[in-house]
Amino acid sequence: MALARTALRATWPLPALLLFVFAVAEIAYAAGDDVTRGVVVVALINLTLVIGLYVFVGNSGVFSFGSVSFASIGAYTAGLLVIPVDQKAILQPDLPGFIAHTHFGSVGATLMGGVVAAAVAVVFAVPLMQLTGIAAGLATFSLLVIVRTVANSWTEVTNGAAGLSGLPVTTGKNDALVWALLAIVAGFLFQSSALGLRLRASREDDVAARSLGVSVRMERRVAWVVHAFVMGIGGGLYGQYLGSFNASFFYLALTFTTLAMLVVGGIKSLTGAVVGSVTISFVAEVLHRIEEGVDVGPLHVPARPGLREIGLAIIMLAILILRPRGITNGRELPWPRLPGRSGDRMRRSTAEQGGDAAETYADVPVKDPS
Amino acid sequence: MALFLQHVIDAITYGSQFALYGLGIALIFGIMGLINFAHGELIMVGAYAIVLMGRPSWAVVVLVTIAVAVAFALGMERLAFRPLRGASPPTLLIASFAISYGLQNLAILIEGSAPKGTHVSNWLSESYQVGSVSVPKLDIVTVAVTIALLAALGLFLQRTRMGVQMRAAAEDFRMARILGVRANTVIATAFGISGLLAGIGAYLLVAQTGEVAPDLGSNPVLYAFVATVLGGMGSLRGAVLGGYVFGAIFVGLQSYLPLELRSYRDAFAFAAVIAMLLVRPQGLIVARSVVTRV
Repeated sequence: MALARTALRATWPLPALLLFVFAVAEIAYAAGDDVTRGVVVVALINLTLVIGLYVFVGNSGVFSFGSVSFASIGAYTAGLLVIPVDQKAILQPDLPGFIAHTHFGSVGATLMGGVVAAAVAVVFAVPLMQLTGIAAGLATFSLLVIVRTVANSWTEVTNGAAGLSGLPVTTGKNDALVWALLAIVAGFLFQSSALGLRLRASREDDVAARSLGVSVRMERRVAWVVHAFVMGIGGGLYGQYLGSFNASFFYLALTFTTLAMLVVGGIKSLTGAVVGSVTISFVAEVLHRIEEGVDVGPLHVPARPGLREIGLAIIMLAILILRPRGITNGRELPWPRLPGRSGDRMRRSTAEQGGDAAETYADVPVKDPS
Repeated sequence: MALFLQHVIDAITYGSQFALYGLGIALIFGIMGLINFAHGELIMVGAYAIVLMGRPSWAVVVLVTIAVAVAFALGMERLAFRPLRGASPPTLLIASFAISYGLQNLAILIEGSAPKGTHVSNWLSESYQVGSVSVPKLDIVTVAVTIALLAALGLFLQRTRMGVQMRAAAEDFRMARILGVRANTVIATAFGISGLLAGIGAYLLVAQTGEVAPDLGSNPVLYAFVATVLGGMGSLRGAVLGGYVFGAIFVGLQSYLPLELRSYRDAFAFAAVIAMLLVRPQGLIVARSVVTRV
């Protein structure tokens, strides 16, 4: 009985988050107009990207400014596979033969996007994962510039700065929702795995983790490849939502948006990644409506492009200053407490004293004191 | 031979620009561990000031441009970075990313996203002809201004009271505070100087390109990153050396890469950054403040 309850407590954020995302997406989609429906799909794709980012950044504590390049790789891969063969022959006659004659369905192409992104990540994992702190930040940033330059210049395959076009638009609400939910499951399984826990230990105290036999580099490399796979899937979905895109779409602005979502929610927990994505998507949508111009009674507020982005920047700065560990403070969704239970009171008091240490109770099954 | 000389002149000019941008970033990084991504936006607001001013005399333009960039630099220090003092370097980097993004979009909000043309000076657009090599006056001015600023900054850091305090803060911020260095004043001064450098950089950049756009600062700041990483993060001499080294690499890649690879120039430059971070993360010149103490 006690064991079952411990297991339930340890895993309960997963069904709760899945239900939350499912409910929010379905309600917003059902209640909204066409514009809102588009926003829901984009928000779900962004959620997939943010979960991908979280798998690496959240678990390792190393910031990556280059993760969006894996989304770019995923988008190009999936795009080249879903554009019909005869259309490719017209639009991009210089394509290498094996790409020109290959065609995949939407789901297969999205998966291939993840696979190719992960394969590229394997190559970069060896050099990049030796770096930490600011050096890692700069190196991943360099990766972003490199991938974007290659995507802009490798004209035979990527069609240069013009980008890919003519992708069948197949990413709808249901596809985006299923992938986002799968990403949440993957993120949860990864962080609860032995390797994930070792990585999280190294995030809290690198030296202590090493002294306990954690290799750190190895764990980071695995997380890096897994995160690239999820980012690649997200990119593949984006491509098949947009229909046409170029390398500049997967650059600074998207990097900023996804990082903002993760930081606002709290980088150290999966709940943070989900809450941050949902919050920022909501705020961005509200700001977007204002940006396009609204009528307040007889008053007309004119369209103001740029307003949404300024609002996001201000919110992100405010969170960094006022609540540096994000809305969730880096914790998973707490177990709902029944009033008057002694065990819960004890947990609460240790949580209040413990600060950082308190986070672990949600991550690691702790023996129930009651 | 003439072609090679032309490349050397280009390399020195680019190097001066990169050094100028890199100095502004290295100065702030040395003191508070912040890689100021928003430095590019200081250049951008300075550039917009030039466009909006119309055409008063050049001295007025230069002074107002500098004043605007300094005001924004001090503003971002006071409003964003002072409350974040003591945060980890990646957090600071993200904050500067947010400021950069916000300011770029502020420019879009006010001035629109289309580039605006302007003409700074007839005199600067002329060239001296030496044999078959043409040397734009702007190049000479850029190099001279950079060297003068370097010298002035060096004198300031070595000879003035504030400069000595700044060097002390760069070496060991906590110790400097214990010895009575006022953190707010030192950091605000450093931001002021970085604004000054950005303002001058903006004037030279707009004189060269004649065009202003909200994302004007992105490329300069990217290249400045490369320069400071190559030279050694936090070291001012390193930033300058890195700027000139990168100028040489930049022009070398642009001129001597096989034609079909030339568009990959930036990919090679940033691959060099990764290589440098791996092989010699401390850069060409090691700043004393970055040596890790356990």
